[in-house]
Amino acid sequence: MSISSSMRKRFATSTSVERGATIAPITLSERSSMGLALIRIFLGYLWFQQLFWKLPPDFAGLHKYVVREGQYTILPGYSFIIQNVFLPNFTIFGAGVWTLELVISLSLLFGIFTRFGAILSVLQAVQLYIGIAYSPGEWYWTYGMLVMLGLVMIAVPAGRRFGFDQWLAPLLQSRASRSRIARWLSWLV
Amino acid sequence: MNSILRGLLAGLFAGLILALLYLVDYGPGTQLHSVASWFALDNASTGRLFGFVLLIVLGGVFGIFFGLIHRGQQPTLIRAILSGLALGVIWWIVIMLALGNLVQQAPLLNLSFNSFLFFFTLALLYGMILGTAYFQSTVRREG
Repeated sequence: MSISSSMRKRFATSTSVERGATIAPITLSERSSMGLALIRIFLGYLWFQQLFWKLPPDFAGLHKYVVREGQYTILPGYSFIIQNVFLPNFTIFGAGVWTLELVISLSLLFGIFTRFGAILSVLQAVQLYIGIAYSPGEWYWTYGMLVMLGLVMIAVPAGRRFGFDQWLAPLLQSRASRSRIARWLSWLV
Repeated sequence: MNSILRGLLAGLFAGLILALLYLVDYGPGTQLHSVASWFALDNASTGRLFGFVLLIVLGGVFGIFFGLIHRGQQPTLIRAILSGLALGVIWWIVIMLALGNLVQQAPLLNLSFNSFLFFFTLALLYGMILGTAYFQSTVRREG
């Protein structure tokens, strides 16, 4: 079987186009950016609401969930850590969890270093997934969705509309070439 | 579009977002009863609806104030955000703290940590959305 010269030429052309192929960048429209910003605000509110059933100084509402994490975790060894480290020092642990969730919620609500808040939210959601997602009465996808929502907020600059990041982003980017700290911080907006 | 109309629209938008946030609490909408009670309009059947509408109306009124503050000037983004946050603090003091406690005949500074955290944060969020939405309406978009 032979290939005609015109076919060979066409084949060569198409492979060279494929080799040098470019992908058009996806640009978010203004409406999409605002829509994502509103989703960010509601996600921040989701975390914000969870502060009120485990308020300081005793963080009492949190205790039974930590006990359940110790019973139903899917990660070997995590139960030992909960029983022997977290529960004996519950007040310190509770303060840490409460503060972490306060930082996440303020970051997402106000769009301040949104990607940093989103990274923290993913870490906390993964911890919840490992600890409590498979306990009786829980729908494990709840925590899976919480992880995925956080990942979306890392992927897109959702704080740059209706948020402080709209002001912070250009400020940090203009200083990124001179300051390493500004460059690092600019990744988090 | 003049600054007062811009302020009104931005305020109505921020008020609507605030009303939706109040709606999606554990109740749902339990905190909307609190809003209605600031104006002595709360009742079991229509309290939530009054609360929802009041937040949007109040949002528009404070938006007009915002437009008046920035009349005849093009605010920078940070100035719009900061003045929005300041208006949010005024909203919290005048409406939630003073009027709310006055109507319920409670001491003027009657405040728990729980209610401070919830209402103050959301008042600031209203101000943030108001300021950024107002700024957004004043800029010319690229492309």
